Amino acid sequence: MTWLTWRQHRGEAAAILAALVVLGVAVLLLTVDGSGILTTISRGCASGVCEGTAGNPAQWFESGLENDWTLVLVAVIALPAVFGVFVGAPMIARELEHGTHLVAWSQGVTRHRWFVSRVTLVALGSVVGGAILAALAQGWFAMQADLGNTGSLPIWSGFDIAPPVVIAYTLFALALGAAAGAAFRRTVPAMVVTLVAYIAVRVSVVQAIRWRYLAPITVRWPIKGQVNSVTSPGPSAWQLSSGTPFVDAAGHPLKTAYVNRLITQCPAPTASCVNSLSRVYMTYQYQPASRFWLFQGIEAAIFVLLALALLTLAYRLVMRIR
Amino acid sequence: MVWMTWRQHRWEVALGLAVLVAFGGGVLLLTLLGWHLMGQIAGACPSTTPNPAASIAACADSTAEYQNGFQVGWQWVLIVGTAIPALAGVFVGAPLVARELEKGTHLVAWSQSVPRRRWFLARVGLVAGGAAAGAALLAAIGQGWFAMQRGTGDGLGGPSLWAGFEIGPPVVIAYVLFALALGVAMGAAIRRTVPAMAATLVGFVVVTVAVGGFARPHYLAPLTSRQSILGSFSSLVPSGSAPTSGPGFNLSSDWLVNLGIGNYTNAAGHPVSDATVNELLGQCNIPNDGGATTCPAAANGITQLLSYQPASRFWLFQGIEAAIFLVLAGALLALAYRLVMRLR
Amino acid sequence: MTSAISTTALAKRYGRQWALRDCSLEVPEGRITALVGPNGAGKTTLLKLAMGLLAPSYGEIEVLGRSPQREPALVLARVGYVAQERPLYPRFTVSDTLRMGREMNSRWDDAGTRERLVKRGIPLDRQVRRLSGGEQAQLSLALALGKRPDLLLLDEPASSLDPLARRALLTELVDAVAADGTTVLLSSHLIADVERVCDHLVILSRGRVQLAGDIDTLREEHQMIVGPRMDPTAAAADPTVVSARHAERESALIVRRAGGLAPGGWRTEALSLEDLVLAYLENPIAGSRVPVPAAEVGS
Repeated sequence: MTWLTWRQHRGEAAAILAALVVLGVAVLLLTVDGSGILTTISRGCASGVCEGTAGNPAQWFESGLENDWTLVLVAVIALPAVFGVFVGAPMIARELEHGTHLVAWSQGVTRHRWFVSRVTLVALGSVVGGAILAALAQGWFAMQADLGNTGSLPIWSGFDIAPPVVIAYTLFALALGAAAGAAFRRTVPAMVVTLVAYIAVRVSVVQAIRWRYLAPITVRWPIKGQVNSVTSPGPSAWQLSSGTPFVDAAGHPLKTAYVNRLITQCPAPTASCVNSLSRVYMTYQYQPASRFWLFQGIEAAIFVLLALALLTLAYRLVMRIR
Repeated sequence: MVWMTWRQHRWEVALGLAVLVAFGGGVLLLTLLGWHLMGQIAGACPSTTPNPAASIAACADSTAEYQNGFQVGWQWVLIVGTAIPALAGVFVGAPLVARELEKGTHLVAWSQSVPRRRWFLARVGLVAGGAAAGAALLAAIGQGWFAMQRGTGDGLGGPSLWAGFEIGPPVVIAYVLFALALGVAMGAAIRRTVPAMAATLVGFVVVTVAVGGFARPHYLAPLTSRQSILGSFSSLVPSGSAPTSGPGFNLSSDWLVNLGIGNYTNAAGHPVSDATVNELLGQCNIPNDGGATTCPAAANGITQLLSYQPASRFWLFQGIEAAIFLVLAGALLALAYRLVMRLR
Repeated sequence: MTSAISTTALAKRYGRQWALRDCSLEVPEGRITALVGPNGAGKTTLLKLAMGLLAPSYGEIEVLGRSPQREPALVLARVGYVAQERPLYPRFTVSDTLRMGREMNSRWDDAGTRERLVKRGIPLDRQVRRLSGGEQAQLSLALALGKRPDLLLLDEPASSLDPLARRALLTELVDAVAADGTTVLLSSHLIADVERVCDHLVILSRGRVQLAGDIDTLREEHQMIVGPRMDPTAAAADPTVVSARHAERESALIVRRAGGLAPGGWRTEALSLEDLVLAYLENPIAGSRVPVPAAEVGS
């Protein structure tokens, strides 16, 4: 079965390898290109914190390389999906569509072994590919993070390209493709379904589920009549968007307009003003950087479990084809 | 041929419409959210207030939320808007010829009374027409989004026209036609559906990235602007100070092609080395509390030459890039035609 | 009698392999002609050349007086074709398939085609992939006949069909063309079908025409004679001997001579069409007639 799997997938393996090589070269070029500017910037940054409103080289760097960053990010995020669509879906769908499964299943290998061997081998390959992809992305990201606390590339912004989740996404995409292929038995529809489902699941998880893995830390402090510049948990934390930043002592949200009214009614900090404003607190929620790897583990586990469930489904569907 | 083409592509039409509806719906949601947040900003950022320092923070918060949320939303609109042409090429263009050949149904299609030439022209023409219409719809959605952004995001850093280059109507339509033509050509050349789809995806990405990255900045020779190295790429600050721009160059609307790093000149016009500039900049004092930065006096006269494309050239560039991709599409279709006619 | 198909030194090469070589034949109008030969003989190639799906490497072919390459619209409108393995769009319903025929042919007999299918009990709303092999074959035939062609090309139309389905298909074919006088060229390697349905025969082997003619005439022209064992080389050298089999004491020859009694000491035996065809297939002409040593057969 090993040789047969290799023989049937060698074209794809070659293509994927080529793609990874190209991506690696691109990352390398961007790294080399970026490091020259990095030197310029690191010497230009006064106290290690290259933030501020004056013109500063870090922003020059960002605006120049932001496009590259987006490209790399998009590439790394898209590749598992591409893998699922072009390798996972045809893996089973193509055999069924062309009737070649009849050949495969009438050799000495049982259907059960055919499925298990094939899927395991391709899954192993996908884990390897996912690991390489993640390594490339990490190299790029580490270079970016070396820049220090630029505020625009904190650790959380690289969540989707860290190794545990990339490998998990790749397996998930593969499993999704296999299930779609077994269910629809035609290559192109299976590919479409795989793509759509992958995007739907990934987007839902990122938007709606990821921040809930652990209850976020809430910070609250009274504005005391004068709203100071917001203390922030720092750029390394993942600040969750909140509706309004104002709450009362009990944590109920206050409308911004209301707070504004309170403020404008107090041109000078008289005693009564301070009193009324003492009821106002500011708040935000965040996930600290320390939880990053924990969240990685949780999300990876979720997608691996999904992958296993989908593979089981695919297996059942295949065994039931009579 | 009209019925036949419809019958063979009806699922694709349905899916394409569904995607456009979803995209439009997503954009609509983001727009509504935007209006809501704008309302918040309007409440939090009064133009005059007796206690400006107090309200600034609330205003800053709402503004930051708007900006953060919308940066993300904006990126997604752009990514989806660029991905859809690729998908059109991969899922509609590539199987068009390849599937017939792979299944042998071309023998049925080409032994009716419709000669092969007419079959190709009619089929591809109808599909291209449909795709162009879909692309126009996609562009309209993107433009609507854009207009909302720019209209209400005044001073809040809505994206410049250039940021949405890939979803400008001429370019989107040209991309879709190019992707379609590429798919048909790959299908005719490779004759197997899945490899043709993969080749189309790769080809599309490579060409669009290459053109966008290397050719686009040079359609016309960029204008240059001499800016002080201490100058003014301030991140856009909320109400109060307007973004500063150098002579001729407007950060919020022009496309910065080249920062001019490494290309320094002093007040007398002589070149200054990178090392000198780095040293001077290293002596700048950037206080943490947001106060003014102070730099050594010697840095004052030093300028860098940045190059940019002004906003006024946007539509011209759209036209040029669209023309490029339409020409490519035409060439690919001609190639596909030759390949199909030669399958004898 | 005019020819529906006329070829002159027609040849087709794929890379370095000749699929068809120096093929000159006339397919008579109004008759049902069989194109027989082993696999790889060039039957499919010839049919595709006639349909304009392939272009000749050398030589000429004329179909109904037109060139399929230069005047495809004219040829396509008058020639019906069913490819080997009878491809159809699997997810089209029968109705959709007929609709396709109607949309893509200027001349189309919708009522007649539907009636033909209904008569055969084929449901119009069923997807093609859910039809049996025999039903799909009927549909393919109906699709080709729907445009009321003057010439019908069928590539192994009855292959992989059970005997009942095969008979149904061939009956349908004969009925359909009897009234209109449609010319039919069908390829097959099932001689029994050929005998039942065809009146003209072309034998193709290794890309070359071995024999062509009216079946009845060919039968009259050939004899199987059995007699005392003769010298194999003498038999091989005789140009009228098509094939020879030599046993210990007997020789059986298939000869082509204008009838008459067998020579002294020889008796005539029944010669089936299949024997005749096989004789020509076993002794193909390669260039000029090269004597082939007759096979030794233990009797």
